[in-house]
Amino acid sequence: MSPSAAGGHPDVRGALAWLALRSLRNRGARLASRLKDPRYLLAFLAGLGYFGWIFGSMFLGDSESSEVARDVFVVPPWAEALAPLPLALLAVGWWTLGKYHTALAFDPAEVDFLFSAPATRRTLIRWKLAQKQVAVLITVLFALVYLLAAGAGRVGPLDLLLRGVGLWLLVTTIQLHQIASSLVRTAATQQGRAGLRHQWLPLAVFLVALLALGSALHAVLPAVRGAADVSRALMVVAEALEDPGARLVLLPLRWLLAPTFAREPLAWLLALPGAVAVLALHYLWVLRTDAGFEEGAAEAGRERAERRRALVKGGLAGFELSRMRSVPRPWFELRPAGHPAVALLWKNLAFAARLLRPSAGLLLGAVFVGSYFLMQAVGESPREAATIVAIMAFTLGGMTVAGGSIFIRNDLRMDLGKLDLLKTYPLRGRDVLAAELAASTVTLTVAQLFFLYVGLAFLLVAPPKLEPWWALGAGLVGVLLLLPPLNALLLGAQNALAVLFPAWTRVGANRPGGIEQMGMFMLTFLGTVLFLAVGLLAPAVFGAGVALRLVGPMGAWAALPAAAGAWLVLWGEVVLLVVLLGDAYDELDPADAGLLR
Amino acid sequence: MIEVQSLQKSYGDVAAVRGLSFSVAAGEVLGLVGPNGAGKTTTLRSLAGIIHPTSGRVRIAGHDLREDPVSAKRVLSFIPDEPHLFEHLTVEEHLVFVARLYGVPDAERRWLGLLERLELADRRKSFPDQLSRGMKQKLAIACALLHRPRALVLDEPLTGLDPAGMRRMKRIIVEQAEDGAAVLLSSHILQLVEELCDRVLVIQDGQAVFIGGLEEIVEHRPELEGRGLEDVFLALTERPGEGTGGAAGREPLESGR
Repeated sequence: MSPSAAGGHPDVRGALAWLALRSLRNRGARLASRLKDPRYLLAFLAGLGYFGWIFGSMFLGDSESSEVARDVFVVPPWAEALAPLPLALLAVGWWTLGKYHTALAFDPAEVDFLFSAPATRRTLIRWKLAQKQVAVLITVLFALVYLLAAGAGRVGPLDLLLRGVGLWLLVTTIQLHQIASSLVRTAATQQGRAGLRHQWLPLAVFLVALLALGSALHAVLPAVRGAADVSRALMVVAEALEDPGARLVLLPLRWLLAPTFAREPLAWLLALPGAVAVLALHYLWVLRTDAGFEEGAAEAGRERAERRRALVKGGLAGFELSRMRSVPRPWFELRPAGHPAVALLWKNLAFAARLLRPSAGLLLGAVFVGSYFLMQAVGESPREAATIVAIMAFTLGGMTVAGGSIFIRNDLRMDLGKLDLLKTYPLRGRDVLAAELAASTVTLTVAQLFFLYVGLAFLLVAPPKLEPWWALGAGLVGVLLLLPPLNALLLGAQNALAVLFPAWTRVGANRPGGIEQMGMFMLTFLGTVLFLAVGLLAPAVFGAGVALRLVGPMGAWAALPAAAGAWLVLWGEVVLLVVLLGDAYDELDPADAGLLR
Repeated sequence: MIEVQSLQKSYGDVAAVRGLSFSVAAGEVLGLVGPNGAGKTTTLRSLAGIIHPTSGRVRIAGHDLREDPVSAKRVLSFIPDEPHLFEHLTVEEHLVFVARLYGVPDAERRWLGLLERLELADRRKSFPDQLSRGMKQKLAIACALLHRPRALVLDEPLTGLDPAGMRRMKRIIVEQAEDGAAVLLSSHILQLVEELCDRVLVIQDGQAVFIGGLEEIVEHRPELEGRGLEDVFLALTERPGEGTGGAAGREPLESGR
């Protein structure tokens, strides 16, 4: 260990290289050590199996899907002509709205150790760019694996190499442009007039490019509106990009994309110098720009570290809340007197009120209304458009029933990182569980009702021909009654995992990542499905029994007591779950569960 | 050793530090105190080269931090208020890394001594997430002292340390100064500042309110004679109408030193 430090002169580059390699080695060793624990090993194997299945199915897919995939290689000329446009729009976004790019974010340890160390700023920027190459190379590798699978044996090693280099040039340059634009923006916004004076050239180039591109696109707007279909409209836009001004603006992007689109080695070779030149210019731009990157980098890194810390503690949404400008009021006011568990419920619902804001609902509602008018614009009748939007809303609502319990987490899963504090409250475990579970159940049900009402509102525009009329009403009442206990049961399953296998939830000090995390997600998802199946069995059997017994004397009306019975059994299961989990919660030791840092 | 001239740092329209000038001589310990939001941490981070001052000049051991940052930083150490460590490096590996970063000649012998002294010898193979807050702070201190800095900048150095650790840290600060290092120490523990510092720099709203020895302030404010630093601090940083017992001292006072 000591030879690396045996010299007498600072060796910043050597130290940074050593830091990268040693961190990688230690990370690997810690992963290997964690896999000695059977639960992590199981998760790792499940994750590995999942990725193996994904890639395996890509390579061993049926001939029909391979035929479809092969079409990926055939790019129509207008698509190739249009390809620079999304990149240009992306760049416009970075220049106008972009935040300090995280590619140059130094985490707090790097800031404290490296910024005050005898290292030049160029060394630090090179170090960060080199670090980011890992992500770039992984992206390129995944793209190549996809191409290899999609090519179904028609992609040779040379093809892969050429396309890999082309993609690497593209992704790296995009990343450099993002960094450079954010450096210029940071200088211009933080240093006021002095920054603007210093960065006038890139800012002027950006404005001229924006004007040229904007005027070219503006000129063809009437033609786009008059186009018969989408592909014709895209062709019109592609033609507009041949305007001399737009062509000049997009020329560097065309050079950059040329190796990726090259169909043969010679074309690739001829395209290479242009792309390399664009990359080299960006590299020099980033290195030579004298906009102070340190503060932005430190700020971005601090934000990233806080986000990571919040994630580890199970409160990422809380981190997002801390960045809100205005804070919505909780859904109800908490009185000082009353059962203490209500305070927990209030806390978690206040959190939901701040995430599920009315403005978000209005925005989503506007998306549905917009979709309704858009569908009419493309030729659907008002009735058809309303039916399609209603189906969309019901489908989204249905999806929240299936997966909402994983994503709505304002219950014990959110508070697990603060279990040491939670344990000090004067509450029994079952009270804690009831309050926690009630909070997420209410939240999830509110979200589902939103989709339900949106769907119903559009059905009013196009009422279905349903006979008898009360069937829709009965179905609606049934859904309204069924949703709360069903949600509570599903959320209870997720909370059961949190109580019984706390290390498997996404909190805790020794939090897994990557393949293990994917494996854990797969296993918990399967566990939830199994739990739901078992949970629904008892109410179904009970309801069926009641119906069979009463169908003779009551006829079709036997469905009512059967449904009521099943509904009560479902609630009974929820209560039983809360009691059992509450007792397990009382036994839970935060330190043993690895929830304390 | 540490010279600061007209240091200014603005964030947009907000000036965090406004024309701050002071110096810390070799062998001297200067205490930096001020109310929350006074600009202490911004000042320290500007001195450490973490943030760039909007204007002004910082020289460390004669090296201009803007013109020749590498030479300046080679002799400087900064201990932040919260220790940030590399999560995938062990205690010992942090020291190996710092040794190489600064080119410490007799690194191993030195870090073994530091680990022993800071009671981290038996945690050499531990990762940061296996350390307590105090141990992390000790590791940050060991890293900062490894290359024998000639200028030491400390932001709340006692945070998280146990009583024995505090006493050891205080001794280390004194020893560093005795060895000829210029020490700039920021702390809200005024007792510590009173105990260790030769002079005190009181800042408020990014400006110097007072710089000098405690005894010197009495020349300007006779009513504070016999009072401790806490009273002096409150008197100097009191805003009009707050009424902490002393008169508002808004004019910068400069000691003779």
